[in-house]
Amino acid sequence: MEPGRASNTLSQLRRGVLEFCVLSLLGDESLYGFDLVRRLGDVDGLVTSEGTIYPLLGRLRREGWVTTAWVESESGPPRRYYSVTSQGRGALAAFAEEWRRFRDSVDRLLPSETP
Amino acid sequence: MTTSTIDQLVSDYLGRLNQAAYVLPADRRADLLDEISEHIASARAAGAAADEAAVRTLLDRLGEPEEIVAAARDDESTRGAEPWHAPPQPVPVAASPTLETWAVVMLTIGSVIPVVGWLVGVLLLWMSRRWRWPEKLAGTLIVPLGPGLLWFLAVLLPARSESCSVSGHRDSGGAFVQGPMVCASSGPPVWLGATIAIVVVLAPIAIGAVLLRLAHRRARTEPPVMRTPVVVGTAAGSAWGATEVAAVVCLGVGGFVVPLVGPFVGLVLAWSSPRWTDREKNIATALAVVPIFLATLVFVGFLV
Repeated sequence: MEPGRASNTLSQLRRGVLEFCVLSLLGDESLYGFDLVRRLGDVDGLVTSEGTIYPLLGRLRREGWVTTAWVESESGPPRRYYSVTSQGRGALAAFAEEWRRFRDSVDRLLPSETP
Repeated sequence: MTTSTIDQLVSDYLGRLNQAAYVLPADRRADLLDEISEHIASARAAGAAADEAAVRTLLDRLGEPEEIVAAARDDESTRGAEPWHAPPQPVPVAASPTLETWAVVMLTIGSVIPVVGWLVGVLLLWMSRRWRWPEKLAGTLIVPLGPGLLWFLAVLLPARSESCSVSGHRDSGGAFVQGPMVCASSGPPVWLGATIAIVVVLAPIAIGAVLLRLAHRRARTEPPVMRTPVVVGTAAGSAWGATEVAAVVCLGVGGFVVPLVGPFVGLVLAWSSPRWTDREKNIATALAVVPIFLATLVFVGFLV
């Protein structure tokens, strides 16, 4: 298989899964944009362009899975904090279950790692 | 390193983003520019963009403006229109003999609605998969019309009455000599009437109790029913399909249009509904009693 095909598949997969990674990160605490984006960006192989997370956050907000609130900051301009809604939690829980099934099935079918 | 170089890099970047974002709706474009500007400002406030190299890394990590705008457009067109929802998973629900309970209720208490109530009971009785045919036959034939049979017995059987007559004869002088008073009672004796009444009421209750126990015992041995929870507000999970609407129409007004048959059809439809839960079927059946009763009154009034 040509490498371009694999990376294309993975980038689509990444895009689809990213929003649930966002919801999951926000599950424990509210985060402001830069902090949230940095944490996602530091995960290996998840985000290639951190800027693309913002349109995603906008969509999650419009769908009602995420809310934002302005909070004053000591070290600069006020920050927009993102937090997950109960609807978002529900979506995350449903996805997490489906994802584990999906992941396990794919893992079983793919050739195992060669040492 | 100068602040102006850093500012220049940032403003160049935001200018390119602004330019590229013209393809987006105005409010989305403003949001995106706000958020990216905020991201950069936060990074600088956190000391993550202290020199030119750090700013370049920051902007590199953000990605090309065109790439960000392309992602925003993708979200706009494809993903935005179709938020991801997990399909509702069926959950096991313990089987319960709801239909059978209603059958027994209609065969006994429900039979006070003349004819119709009992017939509904028979219909439900024969619809059940938990009773075998001899049991169904017993439920049907042990006191047809159920306790409601008393209505008919009261009307049809002659009331017990007593009549007395006095006979006499005239004696030789022509005077009337009164004979002994003879009394005769007609109609069934009291003990017979009471026995019939008790049997008519108690026998259906007794057979009903037996049937109900059988149904409960058999339901317990069945595997749980897999039922998909209804998601409120989604088309796929709607509780209203053609069957359900037809059931409500038949139960509500069917009795007035086609006496007796209309509500029957309604009950069959309601209980065969794939969308309604047992609870909703119960509610439909209970609510249907009123129009069925009214329709029966109208029907009987018409006949008389």
